[in-house]
Amino acid sequence: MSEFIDLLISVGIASAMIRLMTPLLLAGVGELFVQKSGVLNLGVEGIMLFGAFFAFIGTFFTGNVGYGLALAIVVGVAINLLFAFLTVSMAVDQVVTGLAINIAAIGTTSYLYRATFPYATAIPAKTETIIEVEPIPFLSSIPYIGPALFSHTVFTYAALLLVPVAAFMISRTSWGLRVKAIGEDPHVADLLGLNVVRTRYFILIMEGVLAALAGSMLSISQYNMFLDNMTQGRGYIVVALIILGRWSPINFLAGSLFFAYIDALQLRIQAAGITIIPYQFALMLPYLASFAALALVGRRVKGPASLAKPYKKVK
Amino acid sequence: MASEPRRKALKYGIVAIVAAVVAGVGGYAAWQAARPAPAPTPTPAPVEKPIKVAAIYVTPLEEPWNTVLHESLTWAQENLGIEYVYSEKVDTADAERVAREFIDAGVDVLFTHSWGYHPVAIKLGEEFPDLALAQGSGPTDIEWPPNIVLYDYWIQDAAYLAGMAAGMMTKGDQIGVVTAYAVPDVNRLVNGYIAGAKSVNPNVKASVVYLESWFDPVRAKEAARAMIDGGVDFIYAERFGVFEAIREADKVGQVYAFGNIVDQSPLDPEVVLASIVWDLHSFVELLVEMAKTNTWQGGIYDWGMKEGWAKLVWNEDLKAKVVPKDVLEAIEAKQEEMLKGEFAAPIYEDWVPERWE
Repeated sequence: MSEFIDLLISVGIASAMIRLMTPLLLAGVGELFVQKSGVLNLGVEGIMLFGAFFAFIGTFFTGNVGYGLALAIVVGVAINLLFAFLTVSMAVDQVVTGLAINIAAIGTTSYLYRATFPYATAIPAKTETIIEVEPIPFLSSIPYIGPALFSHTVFTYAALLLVPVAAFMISRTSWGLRVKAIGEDPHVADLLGLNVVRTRYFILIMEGVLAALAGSMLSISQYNMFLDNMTQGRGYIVVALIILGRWSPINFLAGSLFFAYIDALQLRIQAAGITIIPYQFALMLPYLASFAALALVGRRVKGPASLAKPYKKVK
Repeated sequence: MASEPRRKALKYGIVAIVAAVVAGVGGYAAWQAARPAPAPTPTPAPVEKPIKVAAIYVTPLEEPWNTVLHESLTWAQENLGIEYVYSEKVDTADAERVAREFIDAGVDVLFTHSWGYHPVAIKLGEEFPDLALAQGSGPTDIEWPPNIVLYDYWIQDAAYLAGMAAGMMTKGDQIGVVTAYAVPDVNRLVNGYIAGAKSVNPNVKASVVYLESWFDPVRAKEAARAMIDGGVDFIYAERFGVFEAIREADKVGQVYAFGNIVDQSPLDPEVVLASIVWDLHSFVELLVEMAKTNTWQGGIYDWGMKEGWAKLVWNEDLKAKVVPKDVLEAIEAKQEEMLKGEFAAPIYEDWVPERWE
């Protein structure tokens, strides 16, 4: 029993939780603003996959992770500009457009991968450099907290800083209020003189950057190859966690922490050979726990009233 | 406003164009991915009409399961004078269409290289009794048309030998496996590896993680990290991601891994001690010979180490550095018994953790 308690609170699990959470957080902060402004972008999964692919390509051919990141960001922004054009300017259905991006991402990335790497050897192409762990001086030597929280890549530090910044921007700045107003009722916001289209474009561009970074992390930091559909539905989990967190950055952080913790835990339950819990149940745990949390968390909070509703300016 | 309808029409026009472009690009990409690869230029040597072989793969060629067949068929193209065409990433639902395209194009031998394709193989096998079909894995307890060769990676003997190395060399009596799904062919390897370790070290504890995903190296890495944290020092990497975990945990030289299906030691020569390899060259050679001489013989081909199908391929440099002599001798002796047919690794196709407690 004490072994199991050790497992629950070990440094290893805490640090695994943070690692598993980082891509969710990065993509999620962008998507949260997008949804706050009344747009539902399910395409976040596709942008992550494009990000993972182009970060890999950029890094593989230049040997420089900086170029990889830059390429991923350019593509991520381009895809979201297309999404913005279709859904914000043309008022096309957001759900359909988002799903179209995801389907296109799977086909396009694997096609481009084969076009770039005609099959040659048994060992797939891999990058020689990756974005490595950078322990923060002093802080990383604090027992427990140091290795758990301060021995990660820059992605993690950026993601953890982004959450309070996002929370502050949403609830304490006039820009945040404007975004919320647009998400509640774009017609009224427009009448009040807010530029709905411009705000939504801006937020979607920002999301393109963040989701592309989240995807890059998978292929040039946590791993050194691009593998087929390697995002494995993380984008959809992000969307679910935002709704579960009732569009609050702090709740979203808590939800992501919880999900990542349970995921890290289930891997450890399996690895520790704990057989009282069948591994199938362990695998189900993160999703089950999130469902349970969703059922328990207050349902009083409503989302942005105009979420996913196409908006057309009245002339 | 007079311009309103026109403006509306313009807007819808733009949407239609963008949608068409997106659909076009996506469709083209999908078509390119699913269509048979253009036949590489045939070797000029053979006088008789070369045997035409086609293979259909469900995932990309980088998946080691596909890599072995692709490499063997490419080898056959260069050395046995066959003509080889293939199509990768063919969804199970598209398999029949792609297979029929190949049949229409006049292939002599067709490999349907995925468990999920087996109903299609059976259907086509009955419809074209003269077609030589080879089905990669499938149920063994059903009736197969006589022109279908059923093959699968029966490489548990090699996994057993790797398990022996792990069992004898582990410092804390803990070994691990990071794997995808608890399906019969994967379980044969997992159980073979543990059986090998237990045979030399009854105290060994095995840690097995199923990821329920074929390509998620990030989570495979986390699973391996969890094992390393728990004191596991020999990990059978059935999936991509384990080698990087050892490096990231700063355990190079303390924790070792075994590669799967293809020789994976080039991925990390300091970490991969050996690979549990499936070698299809002799199999492909036999099938080509049967097709050439019109002696195609269907049935279940469950070859193992004796037939040269299963191999434990060492990373020679690392072996010389870290594997003690008595371990090597024990493994070589067991391998000799396997090659003579005196010993075979036990075959278990289910995952029951209690079996190994």
